[in-house]
Amino acid sequence: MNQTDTFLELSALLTGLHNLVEDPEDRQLSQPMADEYRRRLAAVFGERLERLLTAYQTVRNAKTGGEWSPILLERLRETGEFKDAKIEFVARQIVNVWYFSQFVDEPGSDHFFDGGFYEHGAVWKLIKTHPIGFSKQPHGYWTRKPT
Amino acid sequence: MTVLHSHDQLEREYEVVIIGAGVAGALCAWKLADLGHKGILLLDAGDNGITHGQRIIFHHTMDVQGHRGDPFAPYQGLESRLWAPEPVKSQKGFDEEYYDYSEEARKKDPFKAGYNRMVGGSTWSWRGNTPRMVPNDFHLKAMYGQGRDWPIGYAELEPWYCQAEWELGVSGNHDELDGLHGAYRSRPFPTSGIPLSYSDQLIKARLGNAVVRGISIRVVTTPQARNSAPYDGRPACEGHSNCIPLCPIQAKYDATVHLRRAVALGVTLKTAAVVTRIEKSNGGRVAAVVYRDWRSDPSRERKIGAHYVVLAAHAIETPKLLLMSGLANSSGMVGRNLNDHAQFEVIALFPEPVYPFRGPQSITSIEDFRDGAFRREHSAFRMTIGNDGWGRSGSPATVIDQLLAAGHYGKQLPKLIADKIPRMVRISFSTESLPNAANRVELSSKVDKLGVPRPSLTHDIGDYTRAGLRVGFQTAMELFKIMGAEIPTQPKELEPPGKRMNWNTAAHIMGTTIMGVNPADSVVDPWGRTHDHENLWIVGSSVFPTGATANPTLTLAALTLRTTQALHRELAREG
Repeated sequence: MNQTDTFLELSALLTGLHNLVEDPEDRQLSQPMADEYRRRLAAVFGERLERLLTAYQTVRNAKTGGEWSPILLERLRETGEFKDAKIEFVARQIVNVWYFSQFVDEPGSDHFFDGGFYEHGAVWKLIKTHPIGFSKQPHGYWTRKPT
Repeated sequence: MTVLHSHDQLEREYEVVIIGAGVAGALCAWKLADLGHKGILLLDAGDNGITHGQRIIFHHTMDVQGHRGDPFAPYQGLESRLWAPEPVKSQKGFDEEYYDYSEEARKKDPFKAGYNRMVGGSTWSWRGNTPRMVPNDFHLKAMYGQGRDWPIGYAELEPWYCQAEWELGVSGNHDELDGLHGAYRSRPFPTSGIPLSYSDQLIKARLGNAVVRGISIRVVTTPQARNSAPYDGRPACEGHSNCIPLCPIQAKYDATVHLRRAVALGVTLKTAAVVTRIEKSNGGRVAAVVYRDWRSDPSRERKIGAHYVVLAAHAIETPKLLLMSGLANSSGMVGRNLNDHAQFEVIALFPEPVYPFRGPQSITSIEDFRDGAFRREHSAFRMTIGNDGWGRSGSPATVIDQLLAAGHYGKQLPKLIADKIPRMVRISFSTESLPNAANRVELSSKVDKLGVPRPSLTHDIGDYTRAGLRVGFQTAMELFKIMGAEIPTQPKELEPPGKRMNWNTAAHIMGTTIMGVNPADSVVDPWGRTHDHENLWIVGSSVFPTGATANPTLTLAALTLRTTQALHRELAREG
């Protein structure tokens, strides 16, 4: 399994966006995004990201013989790495980058790093709106309950 | 068409030099040119463009930075910020780097309002709300024994309100607002009100005609300088939910509309020009404007002759420039009566999803607390209902941060997000502050990169406003209870024990060169001409004697059109 696949699986586990690995089409289509997110996070978090990915791989190999499963989350959270606040902070940024395509380098920072796919953040579909700042709908669409 | 970025052509004489290319300066320049005047120069410290191309560049930053409620986000990269700094952290209180505070001032309140020093001014990042003031706002002293009165009344300003509404393209429902607290309307809005969001409809239905604090309330459509239909060559709002910090399609008015018109009519717009002083002639008139061009040689002073000077640099930079020039201050009132609307928002979770972030950030308001006998005791306030979740109190990103902090990883996370964020609602209220001569802008001994003094501020919102904030807070809580909304622990307490009251700013900077009949206690006359210098005029919210509760832009636009007409008469008389 390459680094991007590992990152994608870890991302699905943390974000709850299980379709990223469970839906073959989503998994394939999400590869470029995952690759970019991993690259940008690695540039900021380097070793801390590596430790988190390694912890995930270790848990996965031990628990499910190398298969992704939602049950791995609880095991991951029990690891020493995840209990390290500095590593868990990276986990939070993985969630942030998938939902908003943004992350920060330290707690409380107001300097946001761009993930590169703001308009494809997962949050918008969940809350049934467009990416803030990027409506593609006509005047007055907001009067209706979204479907 | 003349937009200059080089300085060489400017060392000459102009008929009118206008300082500041925000909404007041833009309207003044355009109106003078439209009335046939030539030789108009508009100077601005910023150097951004006024075209749609510039808007696209600013919009692109949203893709990079997303939306976190920062009104300055798209403009952070402007080089002008190095040379013409502006307050960007003022909401955080005394930590702001541009404003300076004396030790004594630090014992009072911070001045939390900020603004954009750029071509087009703060209208790039305003919400677009354009209510009128109501008649008693002009007579607070006479009616309620508080503050001071304006030298003009609603009836005088009403025709100019109409003109301003048509110039800015204000959408609104005439019948809903005609006669509001006595504010009659002699002309309908150019376009009908923005259609209510799904959220507004649910909230309005739950509130009905509830009676709160003895007052029967109505949820109405806020008049907004935002197109509800194509108007003035600009499209109808597409609901990008991004009014602050930027309307990506200019469905919302900003000053570039009139800047483009002014330039097309022959006004010279000179950017990257930081004015450092205005000089007098031997008589009482002003004669020249001195500026630095930070694009070429910032160390060199350049002087322009001016028959008339109009100051339109907002309520911080305008008095600063007067103080630097030693002008218009025989009353000692320049810089005094600094004012803002103290604001607070209360957040809640609606009983069912309202789906915020679809449509403009706010469409509806409650105008019923803007006037009444209670103004003898506490400030009036104007309430708005958000369509942007928890507004400044929590973006969707903040909510997710909080869910993660509570350990909600994995499959529960999307469910919690989908349950919580669509139910987020806010009610905000802005209160009036009384004019207070001790609240003021002075010159700091600390200087910016060009050696220009930074503003030193003293500010205290006062007990009258604090009392109004308390009532506003209780009213908002009551409204949420009527809705059946769940009211969580508020991210900010209004009155944290043992600490300063925790209001926000509406960033409605007013006062500092107030108008009045008496030259002993005001800076400009009722037409906007300084008492001390017959050819030095001031436009903008700095001339407001009191702030009332209306967002100031429409009133300042109306006053600017009125002042410009007076200036036109004077110029015509002089031939």
